[in-house]
This record gives sequence, structure tokens and C-alpha cells, in this order.
Amino acid sequence: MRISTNLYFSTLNQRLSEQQNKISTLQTQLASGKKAPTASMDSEAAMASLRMNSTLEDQANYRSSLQRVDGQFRQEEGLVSAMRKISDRIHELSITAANGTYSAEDKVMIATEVAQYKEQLLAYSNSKDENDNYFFSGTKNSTQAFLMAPDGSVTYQGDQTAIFVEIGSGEKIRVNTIGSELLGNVSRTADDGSISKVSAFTMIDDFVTALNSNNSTNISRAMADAESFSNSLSKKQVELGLSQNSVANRLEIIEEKTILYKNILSKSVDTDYTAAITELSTNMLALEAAQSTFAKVSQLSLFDYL
Amino acid sequence: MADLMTIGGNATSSYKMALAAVSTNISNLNTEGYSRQSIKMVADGAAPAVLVRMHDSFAESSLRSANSSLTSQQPTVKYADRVLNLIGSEAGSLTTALDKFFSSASRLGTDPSSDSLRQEFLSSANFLSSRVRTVAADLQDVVVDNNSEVAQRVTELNGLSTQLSVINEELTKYGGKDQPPSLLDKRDVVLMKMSALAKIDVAFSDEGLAKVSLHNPNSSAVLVENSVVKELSVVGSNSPKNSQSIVYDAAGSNATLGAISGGLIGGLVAVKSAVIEPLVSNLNTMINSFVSSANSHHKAGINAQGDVNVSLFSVGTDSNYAENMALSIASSAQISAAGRLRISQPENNTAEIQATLSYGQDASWNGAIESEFTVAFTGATSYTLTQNGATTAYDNFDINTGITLGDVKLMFDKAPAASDSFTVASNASGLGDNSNVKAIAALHTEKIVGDKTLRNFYIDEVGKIATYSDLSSMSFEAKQAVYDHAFSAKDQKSGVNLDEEAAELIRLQQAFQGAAKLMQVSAEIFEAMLQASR
Repeated sequence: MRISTNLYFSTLNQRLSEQQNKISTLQTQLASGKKAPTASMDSEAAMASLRMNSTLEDQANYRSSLQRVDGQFRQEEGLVSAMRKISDRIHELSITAANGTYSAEDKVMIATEVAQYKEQLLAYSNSKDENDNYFFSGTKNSTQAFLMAPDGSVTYQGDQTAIFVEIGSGEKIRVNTIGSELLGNVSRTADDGSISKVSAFTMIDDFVTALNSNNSTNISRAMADAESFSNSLSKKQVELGLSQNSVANRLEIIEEKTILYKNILSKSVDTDYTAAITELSTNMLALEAAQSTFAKVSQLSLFDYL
Repeated sequence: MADLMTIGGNATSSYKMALAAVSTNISNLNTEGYSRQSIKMVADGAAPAVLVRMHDSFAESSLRSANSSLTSQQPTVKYADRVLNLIGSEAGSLTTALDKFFSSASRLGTDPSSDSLRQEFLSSANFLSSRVRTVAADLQDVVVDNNSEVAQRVTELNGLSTQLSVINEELTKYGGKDQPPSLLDKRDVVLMKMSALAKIDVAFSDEGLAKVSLHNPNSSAVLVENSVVKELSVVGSNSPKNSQSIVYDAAGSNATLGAISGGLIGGLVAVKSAVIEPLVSNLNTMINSFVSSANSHHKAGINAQGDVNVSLFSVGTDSNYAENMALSIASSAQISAAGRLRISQPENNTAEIQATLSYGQDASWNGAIESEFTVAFTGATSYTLTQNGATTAYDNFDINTGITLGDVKLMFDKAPAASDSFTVASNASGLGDNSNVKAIAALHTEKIVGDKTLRNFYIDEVGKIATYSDLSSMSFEAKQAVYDHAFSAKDQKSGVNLDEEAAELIRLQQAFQGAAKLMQVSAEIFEAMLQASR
């Protein structure tokens, strides 16, 4: 077959530039550490990167939500524990006061202490978080949860809306504690056996009145009230503890998933250095061979012998 | 039989011609489209030799066809890669901005009254709309570049048509005989260049005149016949934005050409209609679906200023939704993270019942906060509903369907008992409620574009372009191989090889010397005969 001089040179040129292209691609992959610094270089890797990065962003998002929720639980738990101490102390005092050896004057002294706990309990229940929002007023969290009127009566000003947060695909957890549920649920058993609900503040007010008037029936009722209040607070403590546990478990799962996904992402997106370097040296060898044959062969011309 | 002197004379002039052909070949080594020349000797050496243009018209025609196929792939690869890098690279992809937006929405759900989280949501919503606008604008740049490249190539094609008509006119002067090889070479070069722009059908007359028409599906569009040229032109329109069509012979038949097959123009038109235009249209569909879903949720909620029915994004009124996408709210106080209504129950309700509200039951919601209403249970399945002082009794309560009033639906996690009541009223100060922003965050996993989630829809679009780009590259390589083969087939006949010419040079030089010697011998014989006869 005839081959023209031009075709001969252009074919050699084309081979050289193909080799140089391959080397340039490999060099970019080695320098950037990515198989596809631009999507068109390796579209499969680019697609994998889009999918995996989205999944990783989901995990990072769950993690930051969980950490925020966990902080909320810890703070609420601290407040509930403090309330529990007050409740336990009131229970203690009601046992003391129910003891027949205490005089009416002693009981008035106890009343003074108990009245102070109302102020403390009010302060705890109106606590605010780092964003200056009330913990226990539901979603009306810029409104003070409990307001004391001049006559000493306390009313709940928040709402009953619960807030749920998604902590994994589909899994939801309740994050807020409603003030009226926490402090408005002291169950009181009347003499006829019927059960009604009073608020913790009413309970304290009633106890103080009973102490001041030395009403032994109502003092023993206060004993039962305080016990019920302590029980409901400890139930809440357990709830918060369990919530923290499930958050911690969830966080562990997320960490594991994140490591797994990062691994998959790296495999499909990052340059495989061993393979790339091996390929690079093979291609460089081929290029060198092509260059040196080009240099030698191109010098051959019959005209040199004329 | 001719005498020695005539034979020698003819031979020397033939070899001189052959040597001239060799030197023409050598000097035209780098001339574009040059066909090697050769000398055909006549059998008995008595007649002068004939100059032959070494040319294979079948090889030339198949090279033209391979050229059209190959060049049509160049813009395909170029534009598909450009679009892929635009929308598919990690930094450029819209998935990053979408993920960021939904993450900030779900983070805002953990603490809707936090000002820093509200700011974060606002800025990620702003980032999303500006990214969408940028991608849409970049895609329009691609469309505009494609259009102007088509226009430029069409002008080139018209210029070549004119050149060919001039060559045709020249050729008529020779009437099909002794056409100068360089004129034929020039004609073939112009035809090759035309085939690089669009796939053409060529027919030659006996005089060597070329008649050129576009290949299917526009084979009736004759570009050049004899010395008559019919031009192509481009006509733009703005629906859809920046669309453009090619018109044949605007001054005469004025026909709008559909697809152009092959060549750079064919490739440019093909990649625009197969890749760029569907992508632009799908991106608009996606953004429109997203914005209408996000807005319908955002409107149902109440913002920190106590307003309802506030849109989050706007997409304009023409159909270029992605390009027009903008954030509709200006401050974090305008984010409607909370539901517009709140539910409350008296402390003496019997059990701890969780009641939840949802919206969107009635498409014709008037955009105002509903008047306060109270649901009071009078039995396991009976209740009264009091609104604006009017009380209606119902006896069909079902915990699975809840209670619907206009646009609002009320659901309970436990069955309420008689004497339990629930009051639903405006949530004006319910900054801590996350129900609405949660609904917006949930769009992340909802199938809101056709049967796909936003993210999957977008990634599938990238996937389509990636597949197209991969296939184009593969097809380019295959067509390059076909072209290379066709080129070497043509070159085998027409190309100049220097070594071959050098050998010819030596051979012809020796032959010339031989012929000259022949004449010398003939002269000596003549002299000897004169001497003998004296």
C-alpha cells in the first residue's frame, strides 16, 4: 500500500498527541486527587460524587439536629431535677408538719420556707434557653410560661403544642416539655375517692394555707400531693433520660454510616494513586518510545543519498 | 516505424514532462487538496506522453461522507461536556444548594425561634435561588453560543457555495477537456470543506461541474447548481427563549429547514435539540414544581410578623422559571416556620391527648387565618363545633379521619372522651412551632417532580447528559477511525511520497539520459552514413 509523506507524519503526530493527552489526564487526576476534577473527565465518578455527597449532607444534618436536641434535653433534665429537689423537700416538710409534736408556731415557720419554694419553682419553670426563649411555654416560647398575679395565683400562658424533630429517615422524637403538663398535673384524691388535677403552685398555696391554719387534714393531703408531684417529675426525668439515650444511639449509627459512605465516596471519586502512577509510567514509556522513533525515522529520506 | 531521432526526441520531451511532474509533486507536498500528478507513456514511444491527475472519485466521495459524520460529533462532544461540567461538577451542581436549603430547613425545625437558625435558613434559601438563576443563565449562555456558532457556520457554508459557483463557471470554459488539475483540486477542496459543515449530496456533470444539495431530510435544498447559489440563513425567535431555525433560500422558496444532517451545523443543531433544550425545559419544570410546593407550604404557615399567605420564592410569569427564581422574603421575621393555628386544651381534659393540625384540605383557602373554633366532645363519637358563636353538633367522629373544617384538619393520637375540649385559634405568637418548616423540609424526600424527588430528578438530568457525553465521545472515536480509513484510501491514490518521488527522479533522470544518448547515437549513425556515402 502507498502511504504519502504527509499521512505518515500526521499519523505519527496523532499518536504522539494521544499519548500526551492520556498523560495530561493522569497528571490532573494525580494532582487534584480526584478521578473527575471536571465532570466530563469521568462522568461515572461525578454522578457517584453527587449522590454520595447528598447522602453525607443528610447525615451531617441529622447529626447537627441531634446535637441540638441533646443539648435541649440536658438543660430540661437539669431543670426538672432542680424541681424534683423542691418537690422532695416539700414532701419532707409535709411529713414533718404532719408529725403531732409540732406546734402551730412551728408550722407557721415551715409555711415560710414552703412559700419560698413557690418563688423558686416559678423561677425554674420560667427558665430561658440560650436564644432567650422559655423552655416550658410550648411553641409560644417568647411568652413567659407561668405568670403570678398580685393575688398570688399562677396561670400558664403557653400552649400545648408539642414539637417533634426528625432524627433519622422517618424517626421522630418529641423535644419540648409543656409547662402545663409538667407543673399542672399534680393529682389530688378527694375524700370521696375522686381524682382531680391541681397545679404545683396551687398545691404549694394550699399547703401554706393548711400550715398557717394548722389544718391537719389538708397537711396530710399536701403530703400525698407532694408525693404525686415528685412521682410525675421523676417520670419526666426517666423520659428525658430515655430520649437522651435514643439520641446517643442514633448518633452512633450516624457516625458509622458516615464512615461507610465516606469510604464508598472515596473509592468512586478519589484517584487510585497506585493504579494512576502505574498507568502514568506505562504511558510515559510509550511516549518516550514514540518520540525517539519519530526522531530517528523522520530523518530517513532518500534525498539524503542523492 | 519511426526513425531513431523522432523516438529519441519524443522520449526526451516525455521524460522532461515526467520530471516536471515529479518536481510539481515535490513542490506541492504541503498544498491542501493536491492530487499527485503522473505521466502516462504511450506504448511505442512515438506519441507524446499524457499528464494524469491521480485521483479516485469514489474515495473522495466516501471521505466527504466520513468527514460530515466526524465533524458532526465535534460540537456534540464539546457542548455535552460543557453542559455536564456546568451542572454535574461538585461545585456547580444544584444538589449542593438544594441539600443546603433542606438541611437548614430541618435544622430550623429543631429550634424555630432561634434567630441564628432563621438567618441560616434565609441565606440558604437565597443561595439556592441565586444558584438556580446562575445555572439557568449559564445554560442560556450555552444556547446563545450555540446559536452564534450555527450562524457563523451557515455564513461559511454560503461563502463556500459562492466559491464553488465561481469554480463551476471556470470549468465550463474547458468543456470537459484538459481541465487544469489545480482547478479540479480546488473544486474538491471546496466540496470537502462544505461537507465539514453539513452532509451534502454532490453530482458532477460531464464538464466536471458540481451540483450540491443538502443530504436528507432536506435533499430538495440545492445549494449550488452551475453558477447559481441559493443561500441559507438563520432566523431567531424567543419562544422558547433563544430558539433559532435555519431557512433555505430566504429570497425565493423561503423554506424553514428541520434537522440538518451531519457536519458541524448538523452537530450543533442536534446537540441543542437533544441535550440543551430538554435540559433547560426540565430545569424549568423542576424549579416550578419545587417553588409551587414550597410556596404552598410556606403560605399555609404564619411568620414572626403574624402574616399568613406569604410566598417564599417567586418564579416570574413567563416560563423561564429557573432564570427568574428569586427569594420573595427579605427578613428572617418573614419566614413562616409555624403553623398558622394553634391548638390548646384545658388542664382538666381527662387524658394526655396529643392533637395535631394540618392544612391544605381545601384548595380554595382564602389566605386568611380561620376564626377561633372549639371542638367539645360529648361522647365517644359525638362532639360539638363552635365557631363565631354558632354551635353545630356532630355524631360521626372517627379517630382515623379526624375532624376537618375548611382548610384545617385536626387529628388526635388518642380517642378523646366526653367533656374533653380543644380550642383552635390563631398562632400569632407561636414562634416556637416548627410544624410548617418541617413540612417544607419534608419536600426533600417527597416526590414533587413527576414521580421523582427533586434531588433524584436533578441527578437523573445530569445522568442523561453524562450518558450522552460518554456516547458522543465513543462515537467520535469510532467516526475518527472511519475517517482515518477513508482518508488513507484517498491518500493511497493521491498523496505524495517523497521517497517515491526521489526514486522516480533517479529513474527518470537515467531514462532521460538514455533518450538523449539515443539522439546522440542517431546523429553519429547519420554522420557515419554521410561519411560512408562520400
